[in-house]
Amino acid sequence: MATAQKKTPAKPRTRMKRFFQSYGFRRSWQSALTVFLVLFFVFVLLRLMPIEGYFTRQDYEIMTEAQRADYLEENGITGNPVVLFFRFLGNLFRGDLGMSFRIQPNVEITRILSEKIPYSLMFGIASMGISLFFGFALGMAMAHYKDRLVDGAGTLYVVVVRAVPSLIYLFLIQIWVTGFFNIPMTYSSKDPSTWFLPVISLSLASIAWYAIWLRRFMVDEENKDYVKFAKAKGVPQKRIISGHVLRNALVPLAQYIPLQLLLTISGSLIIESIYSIPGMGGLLIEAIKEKDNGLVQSLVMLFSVLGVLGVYLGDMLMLLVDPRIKLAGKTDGE
Amino acid sequence: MLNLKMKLSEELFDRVDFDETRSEKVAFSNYSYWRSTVRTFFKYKVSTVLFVVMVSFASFSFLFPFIAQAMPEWEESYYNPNYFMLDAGTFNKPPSEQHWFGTDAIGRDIWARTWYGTRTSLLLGFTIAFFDVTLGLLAGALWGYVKRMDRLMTEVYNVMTNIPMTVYLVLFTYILKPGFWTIVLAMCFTGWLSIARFIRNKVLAIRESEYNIASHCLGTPLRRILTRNIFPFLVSIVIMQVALTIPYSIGSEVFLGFIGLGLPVDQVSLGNLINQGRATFEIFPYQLIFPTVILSFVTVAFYIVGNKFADAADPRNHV
Amino acid sequence: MVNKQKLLMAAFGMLLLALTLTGYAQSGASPDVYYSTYTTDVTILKQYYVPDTTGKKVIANVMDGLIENDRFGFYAPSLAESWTHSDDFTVWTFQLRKGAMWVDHSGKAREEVTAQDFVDGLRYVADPKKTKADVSIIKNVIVGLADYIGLLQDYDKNRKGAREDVEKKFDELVGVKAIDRYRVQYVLASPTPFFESFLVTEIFLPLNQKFVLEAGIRYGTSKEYLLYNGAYYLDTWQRNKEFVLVKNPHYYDKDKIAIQKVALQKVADSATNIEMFKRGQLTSVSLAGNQIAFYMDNPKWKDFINLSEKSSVVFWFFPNFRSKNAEFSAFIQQESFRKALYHAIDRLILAQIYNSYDAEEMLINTILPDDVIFDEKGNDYTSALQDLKDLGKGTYQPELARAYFQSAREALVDAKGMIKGVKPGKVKIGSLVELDIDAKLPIQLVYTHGTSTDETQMALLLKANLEQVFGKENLRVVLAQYTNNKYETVILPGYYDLCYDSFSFKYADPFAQLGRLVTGGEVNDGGFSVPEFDALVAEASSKILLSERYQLFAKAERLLIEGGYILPWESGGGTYGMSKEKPFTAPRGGFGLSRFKYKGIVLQNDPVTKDEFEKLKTEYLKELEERKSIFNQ
Repeated sequence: MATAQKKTPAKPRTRMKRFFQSYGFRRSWQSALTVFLVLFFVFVLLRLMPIEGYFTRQDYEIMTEAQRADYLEENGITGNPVVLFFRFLGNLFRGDLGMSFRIQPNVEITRILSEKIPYSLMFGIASMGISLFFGFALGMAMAHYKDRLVDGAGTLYVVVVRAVPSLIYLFLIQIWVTGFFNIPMTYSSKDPSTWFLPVISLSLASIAWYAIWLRRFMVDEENKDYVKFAKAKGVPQKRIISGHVLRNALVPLAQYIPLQLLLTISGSLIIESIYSIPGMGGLLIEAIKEKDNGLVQSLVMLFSVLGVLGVYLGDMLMLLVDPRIKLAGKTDGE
Repeated sequence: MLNLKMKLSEELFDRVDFDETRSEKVAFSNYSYWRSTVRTFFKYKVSTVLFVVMVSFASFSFLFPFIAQAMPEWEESYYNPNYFMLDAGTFNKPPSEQHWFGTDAIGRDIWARTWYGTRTSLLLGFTIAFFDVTLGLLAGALWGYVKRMDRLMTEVYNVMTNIPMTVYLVLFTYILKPGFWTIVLAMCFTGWLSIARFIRNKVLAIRESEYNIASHCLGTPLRRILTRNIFPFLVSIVIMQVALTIPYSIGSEVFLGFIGLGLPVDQVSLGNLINQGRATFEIFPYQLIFPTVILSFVTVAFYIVGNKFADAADPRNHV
Repeated sequence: MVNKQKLLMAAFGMLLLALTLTGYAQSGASPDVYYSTYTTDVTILKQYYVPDTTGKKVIANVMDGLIENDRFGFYAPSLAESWTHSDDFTVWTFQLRKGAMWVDHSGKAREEVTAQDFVDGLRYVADPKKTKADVSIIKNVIVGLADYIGLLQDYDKNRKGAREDVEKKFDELVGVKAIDRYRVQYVLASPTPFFESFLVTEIFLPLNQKFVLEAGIRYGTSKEYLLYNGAYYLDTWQRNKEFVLVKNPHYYDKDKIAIQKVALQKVADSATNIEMFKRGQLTSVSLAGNQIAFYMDNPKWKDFINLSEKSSVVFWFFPNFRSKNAEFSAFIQQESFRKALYHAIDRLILAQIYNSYDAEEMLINTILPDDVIFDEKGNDYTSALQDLKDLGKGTYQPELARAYFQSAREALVDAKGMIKGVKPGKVKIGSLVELDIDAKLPIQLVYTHGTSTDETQMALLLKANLEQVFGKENLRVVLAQYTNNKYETVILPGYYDLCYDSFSFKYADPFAQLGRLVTGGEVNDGGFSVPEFDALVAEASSKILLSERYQLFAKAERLLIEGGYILPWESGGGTYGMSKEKPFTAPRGGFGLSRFKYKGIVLQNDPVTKDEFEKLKTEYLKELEERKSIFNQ
């Protein structure tokens, strides 16, 4: 019989020590460090870019050298990099991402992002829902009809989607499907018929991924002892699958789902481009090409914060879903 | 069936001498990892067929330049992917007997261009795979085995993979000029990290395995442990990675071409051919279709072969 | 398992149904809405800087200036009801119409457009810190403007005192005044009979100073931060997506406007355009090079293809007279070599890349475009160069080129085969290419081009063309690619031996182009210096009588072309297309914004057929002649 131990409140110093040693805190500051290093690294890379490309022939006719130099300086292209970097960080903490000066001159970056993110996010979430649903459905069908027609067709689909560059089949789908159903080729927020195709196109690759994953998983699990035991006990197949196999299948996935979800914000360049969706898709590339350094830095920071957050949430989700995992022992995560 | 009426002869009860070699014979298993892998691989009909396809396409694309250049007056013939005549009548010709795949906008033969392009794209893929895997292997093995590197490497991994791939691709192409080695550099810059991490996880698993601990206890030097215990296991993984990197690198090359940062347009590659063909798809569909079909065969073949090889290399699937 | 499958099938089935139904619910485009597309987005909409067509299309319709071109190309009243000028063409006075309103993005009227708005506009334009603008073309036209700009430039270099003090000097220095609420007057530095052609450009648009001060740095960044006074106002502007222009209810001419709404959509590339047009989703489409031949053969569409007007943009090749490539610089100084190049380039085959159907149509043999400026007798300026124009593709004469080359060779190459005045060695042309100069034939010629497919193919054709004409033992073309900004990374530093660029024509006088080709001129990229040309240009610009003026300018232009200093290549525009626009209802003009206006355009339900087009063209030309004769009386 264990005696109840009196719990004395820990001393402030120990409390502080425990806080700093706690997993949450350690994780947070590691993530912050990662983001900081990412920002610094990109900052340096951007400064390596050549300075040409800001001025056109007309600018040379209109502006003098002094005026051009002023323009470059005002927009943070020239000038002491260390000062500029810390100024950027300082503004960041005040929630000021600065302004774009090439992509959308004189417009706050926060405004640009707030206009574009909803599109990519909406399409991303819708697409994830569809991919999970259809992916799992397909995967289950493939596992159930293993080595038969459904399995073969599914495998063909997966292979084509994974191996052939997406640009090709997405482009062809746009032309043929919009032609066949006589729907407009580009996305319009007022016309629902234009919403389906981009979402479906976005989902194609993920459906393939989930299908293959689930199929492999289910085939593996079929041979495991606990499944054989449940079968021997007489548990109906449906219950085995829904109650045990599927649930176990979600566990490894759980680690990646939050990350995938958050990163949908980055948008798909190809799909947004061919369907004219004003999302985040091409923004980063365009910003780099136009050398809008402030925008590039803000975007990179956004994506890395999302990345770090996504991994963190993924780990938390895994904790929830898989009771076997404990935080302290988690160093290698495969 | 046990015949209880069987007569038990005296010989059955002769003493058997102890023979050392025979004890080893019993313990000896006729199992060869590689032979088993290969046998399992060729058991799948589909992958065997595709393996043949893959090898033949790849060899043809590498041999074609040699065959072509052996032709008389190669420089001025349509075996030369860069040859064209200054005659507008030869531009944009559909497939015919003289040009099996037709001609492009300035009258170059698409058949020759497709094969030269396949060679370039495969070369790109193999180079990327080579550097990725070599660096990844070395780094990953060390990372997994040497405990002290773990913190640093994990941090490096986090930082570098957090930056979107496109940033590297675009930045490198702007700082250096677009070209073969620029793309290799940009793609390998983070590519090796993913492989290293994968290897490191596998190494960690092996490290705790009993045969490895035994080696360690026996005092085997680190180098020998790496080469004898760990590397052989990893070779199959390497092959699988190489096979899977090809479709990925070809896909990236096409994507880069789409955003205008691919190989210079005067170089022949599948990515360039496809992007050029896409622009005129409606009018001259053959300019897109042929390179696409060849590219699809190549990527699908490598992908399936790579995956099936991974399956075959898994000892659980061995006969 | 079965339930799940059923669910799947049901979902899929519903999806298909939804798609089909909504597909059939699609109605065709109605004839009072103009549907168009664009590929380059606009980064900021300040009316004074519209470098690409998208911006021009928007600004031309939401903002009006003093004058505009009507559908015959004549100057018609816009915000100015009438205008007069002094006898020597130096003082121009404009009477504004009353009641022209500035409206905001919801169509609500704000206040009247007054003469002061035009003064404020010019002040805004003159300051590069306020806006980018092509002010160099008017710098020397208006009295005091060059001085004011110079003062600002000095300030920005030295920063002595306060900038506001410098800005205040505008009113006393520059020759623009609001005489009263509805009259604005411009005082010009020298007699300028063609002043009206400046007024149709974006530089002379008015500005609502009060609004701009309120908007501050956000002016032009979105539809709320702009005011409009044109036939339409900007109802929607979503970047990377669309512009929607809606008819301005307060417009003075609103009864003459047939198109109620203009919808401009962003598309990824022009290949989508033709698909959309065929499905009835676009009002007009222009066909790119290869598409022309394809659709001309297509029985369903060939009747609808018509030729649109050429624009005033001209492309020309210019050799580099200050190249670091000593072999080339030695030869380019020889007139015979320049003439050899002129006759060696087979422009017809180069044009195949852009227009395989009717490539010769695109070629141009003059520096200035034709059909754009006319003298007091109604004669086209380029008629003085008719012999050159008539050559068409015939500038390509390989035998002649070889003969000229031969004489250049005899002049420069000595008995030992060495090129005179050239030292062997290695030379770097920027970071683009490195040359090994051996001071012997073949001459190396560096041709720098962009990375797009078209440009690369054209470069390959040019290389094959020149090497075939001269022979590889005489000339070798070295191709170099640039990835960045052409002007800054190639033209300015001179990293080329031969290059081409496009040059727009700014206003209705040859000086607009020729005046900038003098020694050290802004478009004299190659860096040649021809004193005779400079003298002719100076003499020509002093003449007021247009026919005299044009004659001298034409003589100067001829010098440049025949001397091989500039090699004209092709003209912009002039593409084939299909359209539901009733032909010849749109405003036309060689430059300025009027040709982008939708004002006056009438649409029809079906695309215009060739027959309809020809009929309307004949009618139009007849009416044009009639009006011209009235004008000239």
